[in-house]
Amino acid sequence: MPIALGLEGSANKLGIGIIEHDEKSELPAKVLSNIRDTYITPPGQGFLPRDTAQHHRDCILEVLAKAMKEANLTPDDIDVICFTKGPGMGAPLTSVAIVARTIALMWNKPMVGVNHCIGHIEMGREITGANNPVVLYVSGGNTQVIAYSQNRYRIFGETLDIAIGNCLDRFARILGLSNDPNPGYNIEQCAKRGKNFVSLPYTVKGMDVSFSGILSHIEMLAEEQLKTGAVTPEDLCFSLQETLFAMLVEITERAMAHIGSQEVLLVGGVACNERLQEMMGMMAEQRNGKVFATDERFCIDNGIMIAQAGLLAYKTGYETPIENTTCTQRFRTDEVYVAWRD
Amino acid sequence: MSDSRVDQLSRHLEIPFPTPRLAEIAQRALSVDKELKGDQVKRSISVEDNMLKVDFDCISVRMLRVSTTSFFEMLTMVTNTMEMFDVVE
Repeated sequence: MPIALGLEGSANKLGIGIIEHDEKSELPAKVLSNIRDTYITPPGQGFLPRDTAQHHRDCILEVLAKAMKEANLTPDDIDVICFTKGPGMGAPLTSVAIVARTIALMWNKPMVGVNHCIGHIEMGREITGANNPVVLYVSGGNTQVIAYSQNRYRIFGETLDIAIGNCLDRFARILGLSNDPNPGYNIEQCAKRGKNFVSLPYTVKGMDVSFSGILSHIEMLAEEQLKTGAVTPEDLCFSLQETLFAMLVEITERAMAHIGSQEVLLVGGVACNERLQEMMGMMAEQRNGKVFATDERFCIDNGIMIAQAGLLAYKTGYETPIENTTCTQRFRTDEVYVAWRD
Repeated sequence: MSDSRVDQLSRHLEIPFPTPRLAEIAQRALSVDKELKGDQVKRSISVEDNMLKVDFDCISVRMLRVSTTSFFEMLTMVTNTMEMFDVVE
């Protein structure tokens, strides 16, 4: 029964997880442990690469010890060490990869470098049982509509500038919302109390979306109208969510129509947002389709998804030789050859 | 003239490890990441017995400082990992 250990640290979350597959790959994968430590910055501040890397270096060994303890395993039991090769922030990625290499060499295990986006997709498929969904991958660093075809996850549409999570995070900073547990969560709670919809630019361009103009516009509104009381922070959070999510629903629906799929899988940190899940659900229902989403344990960056995607590749005979275990900040979803699917 | 300048800005480090095996693991783990500014910094890592030997050649003091600092950050990560997670063979 192959067991994989996965290490993830491409953004402000440091995660280590251990997963086990059964011999014939018939039963669902078993999550043996899934530990995460998040670098939370003060309100109004984002996370910078250097400080984030320092956070990861400070906590990674403790997180690794916890993951091994919770799984109740010794190094002998592990078959393969998987790590995030990219995309993500360089310094945090490298800080995690160096530990992955050191334990792989000490324990004499093969390594597999994993594309972070593929990790999200494969974990979502494993947890929800979605078979061949249109994938909406929405997080702080990525916004992509993806569908599988001929051994690649193909990108049907994506953001032309900033990621949706980045847009939400930066607006949370303008309002001075807390980054604990994450800025998106606090925007979501604030939006629930919004009463008036403020019209914002709506920027869908074919299958692609653009968020930076919307952010500039709402920044301006916040600056001019919050102090006069013309709008409230709650109204702005509500209006921002409604506008951004409507754009995502539109391009996702078009991708579903194009490939003839009835399933949508939501992955990435923003996929935790219940309003997004609800709006996507209404669209899917009209098409007699279904939305699949996971909870924050698997949506938000974690080590187990890296272990999952790495183990799938490893079982097809794929390994990353130690000298090729470098990290790369840019690593597109469609660069990966998906050997484990028909 | 440029050669003598480079010579002045080089650094040789020797880091002893408990065993030759651990020294070699450190060398292999640390050698993977190339210097980001390869045209300004030359770094080579080798092992002799239980000694990790590192040589830096830089075009400026600033680059030497940046390069050695980041090397030490990674080296510390490696040695801390070894202390906590090595298995007795």
